[in-house]
Amino acid sequence: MSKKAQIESIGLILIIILIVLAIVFTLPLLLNNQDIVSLNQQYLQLKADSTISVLLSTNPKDCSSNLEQELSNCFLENQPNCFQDCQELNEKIKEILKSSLQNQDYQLSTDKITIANQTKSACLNKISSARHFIAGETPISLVLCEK
Amino acid sequence: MKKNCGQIQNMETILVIFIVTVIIAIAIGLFYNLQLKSLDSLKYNYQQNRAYNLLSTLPLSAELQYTELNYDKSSIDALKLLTSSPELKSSMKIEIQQIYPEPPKKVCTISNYPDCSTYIIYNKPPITITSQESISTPVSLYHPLQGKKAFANLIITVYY
Repeated sequence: MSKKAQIESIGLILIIILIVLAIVFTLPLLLNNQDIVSLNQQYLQLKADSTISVLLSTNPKDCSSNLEQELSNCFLENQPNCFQDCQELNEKIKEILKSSLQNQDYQLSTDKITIANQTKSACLNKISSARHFIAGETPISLVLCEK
Repeated sequence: MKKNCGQIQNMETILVIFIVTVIIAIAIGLFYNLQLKSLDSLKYNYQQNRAYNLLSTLPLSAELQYTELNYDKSSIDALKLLTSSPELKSSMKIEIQQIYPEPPKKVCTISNYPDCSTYIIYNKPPITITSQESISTPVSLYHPLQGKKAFANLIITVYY
């Protein structure tokens, strides 16, 4: 084998080794990122579903009815049982969500009104909770913002 | 002494083998370091996945769940939090913090229940904490003495 051919063979082997190493190290990194993204979305979905169902089943202080029944009273009669008015009920819901969903953008709304809205920056993706029905017909859902 | 063509070619071959061996040694060293980092990353992902799993399964565990005549009532029994603790072998802290109705900000014990806000159900920090990460989700907290449900946050802090 001539000297030129030897040098070319070694060069070829080096290039192949470098390409194989590059593939070995970059492939797992690319695959892992997809898992993390998926995990974060699943987490936000769990959080959105839990938040809306827990919120609606919560009993206000010194009151036997829950917040779902109070919202229902607001939609049907415009007067809740355990709060002075619907405005006070909405303020209390905003306060609860603010305490629970810190550093998180969200929107709690029905098909007609927005009860609570906390949006500071643009959303990469919106994760919506399962819809609950107030008074049997008004859908309510919580949207969380993925950044 | 003048070297002949065969000797020169032998020296060239030895030189090439030496260079290739050095390159392979460097590559193995790099690979080893990257594998170590990859193992750390794997450990981090495992701990993170475990915390996310706990976040969704812990409220449904028989040790904490409120049931009536064996029927699930989709909430955590506050009295169970005072007496039981999940059996885990991870470095983490699990607590439940009542948000509404807002009780006094105290750690709950049998003596001060229900005038307290934080139930620490598991806490096992490592000897040295390099970093920590917290995740949380709302849970319904049932107070059997009042027969009412409160809004609480289940917070899992993972130590690394």
